[in-house]
Amino acid sequence: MMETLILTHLYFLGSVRRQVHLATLFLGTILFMLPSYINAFSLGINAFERVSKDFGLTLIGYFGIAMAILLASTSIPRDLENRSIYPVLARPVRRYQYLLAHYLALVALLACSYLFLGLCLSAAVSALTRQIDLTLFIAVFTSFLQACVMGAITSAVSTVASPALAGTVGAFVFLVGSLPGAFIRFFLVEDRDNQFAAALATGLKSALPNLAVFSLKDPIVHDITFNHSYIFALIGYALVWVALSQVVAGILFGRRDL
Amino acid sequence: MSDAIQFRGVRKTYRTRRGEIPALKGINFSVKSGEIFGFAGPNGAGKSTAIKILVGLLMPDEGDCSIFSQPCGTRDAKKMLGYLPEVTLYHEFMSAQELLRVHAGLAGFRGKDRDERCHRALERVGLSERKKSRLSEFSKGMKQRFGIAQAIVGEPKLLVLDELTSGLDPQAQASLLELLAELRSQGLTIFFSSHHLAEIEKICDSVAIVHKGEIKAAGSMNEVLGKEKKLRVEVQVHEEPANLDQKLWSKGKSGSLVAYLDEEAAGRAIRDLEDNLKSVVSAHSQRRSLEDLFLELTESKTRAANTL
Ligand SMILES: Nc1ncnc2c1ncn2[C@@H]1O[C@H](COP(=O)(O)OP(=O)(O)OP(=O)(O)O)[C@@H](O)[C@H]1O
Ligand SMILES: [Mg+2]
Repeated sequence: MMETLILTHLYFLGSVRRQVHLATLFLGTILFMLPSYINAFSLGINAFERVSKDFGLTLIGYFGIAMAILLASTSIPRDLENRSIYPVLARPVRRYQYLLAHYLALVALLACSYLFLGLCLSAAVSALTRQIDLTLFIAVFTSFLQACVMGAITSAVSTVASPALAGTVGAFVFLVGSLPGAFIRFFLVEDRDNQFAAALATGLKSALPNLAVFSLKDPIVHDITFNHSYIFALIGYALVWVALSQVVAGILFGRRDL
Repeated sequence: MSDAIQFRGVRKTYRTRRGEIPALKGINFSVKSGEIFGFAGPNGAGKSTAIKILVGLLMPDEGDCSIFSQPCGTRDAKKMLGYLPEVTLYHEFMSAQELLRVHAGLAGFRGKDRDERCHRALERVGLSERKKSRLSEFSKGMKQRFGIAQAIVGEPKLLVLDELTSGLDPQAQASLLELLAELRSQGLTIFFSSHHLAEIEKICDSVAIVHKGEIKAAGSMNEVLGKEKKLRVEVQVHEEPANLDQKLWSKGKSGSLVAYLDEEAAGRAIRDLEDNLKSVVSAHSQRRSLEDLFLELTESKTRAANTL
């Protein structure tokens, strides 16, 4: 376990020293400036609150996914390419520990980013509404869970693929996984009667994680109540996919030549 | 003494898009505990492949290898190992000291003990003044020195060094060889590959010569080079005679022919060259040098491609 933590720290530090967090700071600034983009006086405070939450959460969600896919698809291939992996794996470190360390470093980085962006958004919204809305952080958290799942899947693919291929697979999983069931039903079946595309989309969707479940933006923005045990179910669901990805990655990477 | 390293029938073929590349064709050899072992061979001979199998980065297709009786690649085997890879970019964003701490930590050292060991390792390779510099600011030779510090920081029982002195200036080379001798006197086993045959001959107790994935010679220096001195004759010829005795003569540097003979046989052999003889470059009594043996064993039509 100690080895994993030492490596997690190394890879986290690596991302920070490569200044990956600058992009987060930039987006944070944009979120913080929301009140000056959305005119609260023409919308009214209520509409302003909703529009800025909706807009902000959407931005955070896409940013987090992009960050997860980009980092997860490049970090292990980079180690392989510049061979900095050699001296590390010649140590008494198991290969799955190495993979886990890379993943934990990614999760730590995502957690810091999401926390920072959530704070920026919350500050921007409450600057006008004069109230701090903690439910906002629930939506930020489930969005974070989604990014963790995407990171795990992309990183598993990256153990045997190039960064470009892993990134593409990651983006594809994200697109299919976040396709709402309604899209297939209305757009593909009722509108176009394309049974084949519908069957394909449904098949793919059931083999891949259902990322649509992580989106709590609408209920949070529109104050729709939901059962809070749902959050725990989501955590469980995310953990299952992360564990599955790590196991597959461990098997793929375990015996590969370096 | 027990064996520090054993290779038993190790085969490895790389499968690439362009086809299969046999890198090791069933190699067997062993390294005794406490000795310095040199691993020589031309470019592409399979040295790095064998070393990567030894440290667990590659899996052999067939056969097995072990470190102090522990199968290669296992945690127990890796615990006894310090490894200097052939070409590596270390984590360039870290300072020498920081990354060395990571490696000492992975080797199981904690706290003050760890810092102490890092300090000592950096001192031994002459980098303690630059310990706070990032690795991206290091020269090639400094990175190589860092690599050696990284290999010895875990206080291993076995040091495996791929291309030991690559990129080092003569002073650094000499002090590294001294360091190796000192480590051996402390009981370490050292296994290294190198293209500097004189260096191998100078400090190694045993040697193996690998060529095209096969071990051509292996054993103690005396076993491989022979104990007794002979007359080393080097001649230049106008043209290689068609009936040249290939067992006697081998190619030396710059197209010369070299033979190790008794005095009597030497006269006969030179006479046999007849008109082809251009000049006798040298004739003196010495033990067969590793370089001559190496050229003899790895001599082939592709010599130009395999120059050292
Ligand atoms: N990753 C790889 N994929 C395919 N072939 C490889 C790979 N690594 C090495 N080879 C091939 O295996 C053979 C042995 O290579 P190896 O790196 O072991 O040689 P070497 O003795 O270390 O040479 P050098 O002295 O140049 O370092 C070569 O023919 C090489 O082309
Ligand atoms: Mg090599």
